[in-house]
Amino acid sequence: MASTFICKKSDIPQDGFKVFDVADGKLLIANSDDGYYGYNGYCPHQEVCLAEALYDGKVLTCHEHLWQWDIVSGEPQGLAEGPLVIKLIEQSNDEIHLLDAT
Amino acid sequence: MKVELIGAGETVQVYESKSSNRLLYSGLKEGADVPYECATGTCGTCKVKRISGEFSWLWPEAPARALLKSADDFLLCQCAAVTDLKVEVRSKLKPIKEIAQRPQWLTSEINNSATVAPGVMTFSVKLSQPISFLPGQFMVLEFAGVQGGRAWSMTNQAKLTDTLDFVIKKKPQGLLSDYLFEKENLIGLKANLFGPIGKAVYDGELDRDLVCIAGGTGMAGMMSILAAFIDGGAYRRNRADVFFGVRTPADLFFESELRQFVEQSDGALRVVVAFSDAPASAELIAKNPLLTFDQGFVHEVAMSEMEGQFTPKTRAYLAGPPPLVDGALRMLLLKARLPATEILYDKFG
Repeated sequence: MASTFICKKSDIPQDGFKVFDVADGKLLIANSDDGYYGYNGYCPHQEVCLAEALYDGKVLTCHEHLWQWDIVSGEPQGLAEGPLVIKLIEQSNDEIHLLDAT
Repeated sequence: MKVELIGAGETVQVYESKSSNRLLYSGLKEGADVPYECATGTCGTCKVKRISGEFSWLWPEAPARALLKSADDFLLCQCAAVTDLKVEVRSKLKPIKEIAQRPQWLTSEINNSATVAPGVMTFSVKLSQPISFLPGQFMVLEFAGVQGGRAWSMTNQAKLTDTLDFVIKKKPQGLLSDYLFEKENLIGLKANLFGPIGKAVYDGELDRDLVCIAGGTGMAGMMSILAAFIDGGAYRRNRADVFFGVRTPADLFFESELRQFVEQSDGALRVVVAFSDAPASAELIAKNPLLTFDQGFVHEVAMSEMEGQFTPKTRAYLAGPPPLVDGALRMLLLKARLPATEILYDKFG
C-alpha cells in the first residue's frame, strides 16, 4: 500500500484542522483530543472545499449549508444527509501519511 | 421537456420545463424540491450534474459557473432544457411543504420611490394581482433592457397584498442599480417578478425568540419579519433582539420604522444599531431614546450584547454582505452553540 507524507502532527492545531492538496483532490486532517482523522476535503453535499469549514474540536460544520459531522466517525449530524468520505491515514512518530489502497 | 431529478437515497422528482424557461423556476412553479438559494447565478447552490439530455446556458457568464468542476455540472437557475433531462441532485428530494403560495411570474409597475440614505433607495411596486408571501422571502426582479434578474427581499408583510416594498443599494458597476439610481423618475417603470421564494422565513406560530443580525440593505427581510412579529402578536410571548449594521450615522435608514416597532413591542424588542466606521452623534442618541447605538462590526456587537442570553428557544436570522454572514455564523455556532437548524439565512454571495 502506497503511503504519502502529508504533514507533521504538530502542523495540525490542537482541536483544529487543515486541508491539503493531494493527487486526487483535497485531504482534510483534523485533530480531536489525541486522535487524528482523515477525510475527503470536499463537502459530500455540493463539493464545496471544506478549508473554510467551522470546527470546535468535535463537530465539523460546512460553512455553505451547515451540514455537520462527528469528526471521529464522519457520521452526519443536524442538517447533513450523508457522511464524510473517510481517507485512510497512518501516524508514525510525529508524521501523518495518506495511505493509498489502490 | 421532462426534467427528472435523481436525488440522494434514491429519491426522484419529475417536472416539465419549456425550452426557453429557467429549469429552477419551472421546478419551483411545479412544487419540486429543487435546491437553490440566490436564484440569480451567484451562490452555486442549484448546481446539478447531467446524467442524460441536453441543456443550454441562458447566462453563460453567471459568476457561480466558476465553481463548477465539469462540463456536465450546471446551474438550474441559469440553464434551460434543450431535450428531456435527467440530472443528479446531491441531497434527498423531499415533498415540498406548501408553506406559502407557489412562486410564479408576475408583472408590476413602480408606484413609489425615495432615497433614504446615500446610495440607498426604497421603492414599491404594484402587482397585477395580489399575492401572499412569508416574512423573509424575496423576489427576482427583471427590467426591460437590463440583462439578468436581481433578488431583493420584501420589507413589508401582509397575508395578501398587491404592493411589495423593497430597499436597494447602489452597487459599483451594478448594471441594474446604475439604471435605477440614474433614472430621474421611477414611477410607472415596469418590472417582471418571479417569486415569492426564499427559505429563511419567519413563522410567527413557532415559540422562538429572535436574534436578527443584518448589515446594510440585508435589513430588508428583517423589516418584514419584525412587522410580522409585531402585527401577529408574537411579541406578547417572545422577544426579539435586532442588530443592524451600517458604516456611519449618515448611512442609517429605517430609523423611524424601527423606532415605531420598538414603541409597539411593549419592551419585547431591542434594536441595536452598530456603526462600523464612526460613533453615533449625541444628536442621534438624543433623538432615539428607544434605539441603542454601538460602534463596531455588527456581528461582534451582537455577540457581546447577547452574551449569556441565548436560550434553547433562540432562532437567528442573518443577512448582509458575505463577511458579515460568515462571521456571524462562526460566532453563533462555535460560541453561542446554536444548533444549525436554528440559524436561517439565504446566501447571495
